[in-house]
Amino acid sequence: MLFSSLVFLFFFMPFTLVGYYALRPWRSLQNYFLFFVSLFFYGWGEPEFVLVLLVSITCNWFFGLSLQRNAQSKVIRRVILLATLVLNLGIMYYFKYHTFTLTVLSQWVNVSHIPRIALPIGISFFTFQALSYVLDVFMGKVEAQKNPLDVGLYVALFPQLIAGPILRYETIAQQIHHRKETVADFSHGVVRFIVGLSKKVLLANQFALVSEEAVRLAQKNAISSSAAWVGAIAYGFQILFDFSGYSDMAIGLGKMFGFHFPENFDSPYISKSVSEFWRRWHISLGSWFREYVYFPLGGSRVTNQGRLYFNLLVVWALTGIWHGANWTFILWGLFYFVLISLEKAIGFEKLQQREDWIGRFFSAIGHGYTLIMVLIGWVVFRASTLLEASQYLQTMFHLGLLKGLQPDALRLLGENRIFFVIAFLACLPWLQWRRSCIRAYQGIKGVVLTLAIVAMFFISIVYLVKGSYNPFIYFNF
Amino acid sequence: MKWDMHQAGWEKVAAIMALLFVFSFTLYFVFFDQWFVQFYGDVFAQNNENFIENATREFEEAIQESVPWRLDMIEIHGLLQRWQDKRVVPDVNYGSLFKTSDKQIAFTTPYMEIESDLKALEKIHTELQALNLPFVYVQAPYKLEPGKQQLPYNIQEYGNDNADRLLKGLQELNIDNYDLREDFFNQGWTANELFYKTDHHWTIPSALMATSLLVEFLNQDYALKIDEAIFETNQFHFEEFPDFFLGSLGKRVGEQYSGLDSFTLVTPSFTTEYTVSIYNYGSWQEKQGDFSEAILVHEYLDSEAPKETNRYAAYNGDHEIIRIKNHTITEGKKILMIKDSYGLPIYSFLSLGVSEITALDLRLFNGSVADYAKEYNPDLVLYIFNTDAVGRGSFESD
Repeated sequence: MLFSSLVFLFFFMPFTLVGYYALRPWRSLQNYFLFFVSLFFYGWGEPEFVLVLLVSITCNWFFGLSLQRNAQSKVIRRVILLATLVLNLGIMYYFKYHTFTLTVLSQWVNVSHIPRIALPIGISFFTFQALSYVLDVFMGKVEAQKNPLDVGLYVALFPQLIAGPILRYETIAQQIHHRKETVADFSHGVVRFIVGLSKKVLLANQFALVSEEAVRLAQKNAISSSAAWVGAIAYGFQILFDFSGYSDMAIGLGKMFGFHFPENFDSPYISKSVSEFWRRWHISLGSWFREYVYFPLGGSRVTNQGRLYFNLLVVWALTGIWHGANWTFILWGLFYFVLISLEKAIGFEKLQQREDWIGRFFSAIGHGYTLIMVLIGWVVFRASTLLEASQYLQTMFHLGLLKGLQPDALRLLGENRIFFVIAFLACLPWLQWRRSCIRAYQGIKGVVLTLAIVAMFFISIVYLVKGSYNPFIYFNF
Repeated sequence: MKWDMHQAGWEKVAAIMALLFVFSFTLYFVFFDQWFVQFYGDVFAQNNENFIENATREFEEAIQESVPWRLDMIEIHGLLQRWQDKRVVPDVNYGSLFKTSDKQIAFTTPYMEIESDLKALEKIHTELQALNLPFVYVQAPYKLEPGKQQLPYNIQEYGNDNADRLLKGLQELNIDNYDLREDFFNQGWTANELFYKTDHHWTIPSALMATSLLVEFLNQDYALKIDEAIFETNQFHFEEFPDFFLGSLGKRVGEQYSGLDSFTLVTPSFTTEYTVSIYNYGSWQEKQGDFSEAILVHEYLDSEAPKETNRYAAYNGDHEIIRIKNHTITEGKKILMIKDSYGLPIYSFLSLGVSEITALDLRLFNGSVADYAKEYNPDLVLYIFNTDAVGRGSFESD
């Protein structure tokens, strides 16, 4: 089920809120209720995959409990950990990578049959959450849950089930039984949800049309260099508002039920280096890899520089693969490995911090360089094949760009000028600039903000009723 | 990062207003709307393996169609598009709808393979040849004129290209055809005179003009000897209804965006006498009278009816079979027409010059055209379709 659907907004959400708060005196019942409605939410339209989710929950609950019961035996604990990894990654491999692997292998060996396997929505998200639970128990950070439904609630909680933020178990364990719902949190959650819904419906969906048209024209070799850039920028906006909008909705919904989820985005397009970009983009995924892959490998506190780059290579290759079974995602991950390694090698961020002309120079070029690299990355990420990515990039960097804005680029920009302006403004960290904006903010009457939020909500509903294009990019991961 | 500003009272007010909005819609759905009856009927009428998938989809569609003030919301959407001066409006069915340089609403047609269409037309041609019945394919126009830049820059449109390839294929197969588009667009009429701006169909006056062009062609190539003077404009009465019609495309983008069309009712000013037989769902109905009584469906012309009423359907369609007998021409010709919705006013007007015309709609007619033609024994079998029908299997029959 999509958050940005009428069935969610007018049926699932109100009935869930009423049911949840009707059980207010009984926390355990509230949790069970949330768990079962989450399964209903997940099974809407594709009920067969609920079974996959339940298998994952049951096995990981069992592994967690087994780890705790065998706390004294290192060997058994390692066997259990191995079984955890094999099972979770095995499920993920089968549904997400098996067909791709066989397709690649079939180029060298005879593969009799390549099955077409349907992908359970959000499998990468809930698998990583489930892994986080067992790994945190293994590392001794948390106690294992005795009740499988509590593990189920953590893994399947519907606001974050299919597109994150990926919650590390230790950050949420306490909240399962000891959260506190308040009017302030609830109302803030509603507002946050509306902000996310508006980002998704009013911005991401509009940019999706622009970027898809650019790709379609590029495939027919019927696009100018400048229009290809407009398409790439539109995709950059689309993926930001699609994913951060979803995260806003998830965080807002969490607050309505008393949960506090970690932030997932922090104005990533203001970054002055690629390293900074990845500290601001999909923060929960970066945090997961840092906690469970990078640090266990030794992180950056290694004596051997080669080892550092090896650790980075592992993390970025996995980041690419996590996003999908396609060479484009692998290349995209390795592209960031190269960029971040280079930044580390030359001390790019340290150079920016210097107070002389060198610092000023690197700060000045940092933002432009980061945005261009990120856009190149998105082109590869968006493409269905490496060839398609390469052709699109060739169009972007063709000398035709020197001719200025071509009619097709002007049309794409002109048709969507209001969205481009709003998107540009929405990328800026207004709320962090409170100190400089405080006077302006204080001048805004509450009634204006209230009307703005209600208007955004109403216009989003209008767009949903009209039935515009409404995809979710990260559902595929 | 801290997203939160100071927890403020305005958030509580905004949350209450948003929840009131949500819950009032929920209550409407639960207690006041009939959507569930439709949903229940749609879902449980089906008996298939993917019951849950279908049920959830039907549920979502039922809600989408039953949202309170749905049409008002589409109007607000249209108004927002107009304020933004947008010429491309996203649409669930068409992908996008476009405002042409003539301020008309149009959809585009993708590149279509035409081989199966050619095979279907070749098959019927061969079958009719065996019966010694002449056959001609007539290519009706769509509102996007060949070679004219009406769409926003770089929007790909293949409707005319598909039709061109089909006609070329027919020529190679030696199948008679008439490309109505060139003569139609060369009459010097404006785009808004030729086509409704809010609908994909031609206007009734331009359909009359198309009929006279068609008659000229048929007389020339098939010696049908239809009286061409009948189709001159001075033989007709034109009654204009200003701002009377919101067509199917206008409904999708909203009147605020598309505006309204005027509708011109065209009726012959000479004496007519008809028997019209209509076959739908296994039974025949019959009407008798003059052109206005027998052919026109007056409920579509009711000025009290909503603007989105399909005024174009006043010219009697779409039926599985419609047979029009003109009692004022007893020794005239008999024509079998296979058509899409563009054929409605054509068969209505063409009936003025022949003894009898029967039109089959292949979207509803499941039998064999050849078998029907054999039994009916017309002087000519005429296929008439607009460019959007090309490449979609529109010409196939048993």
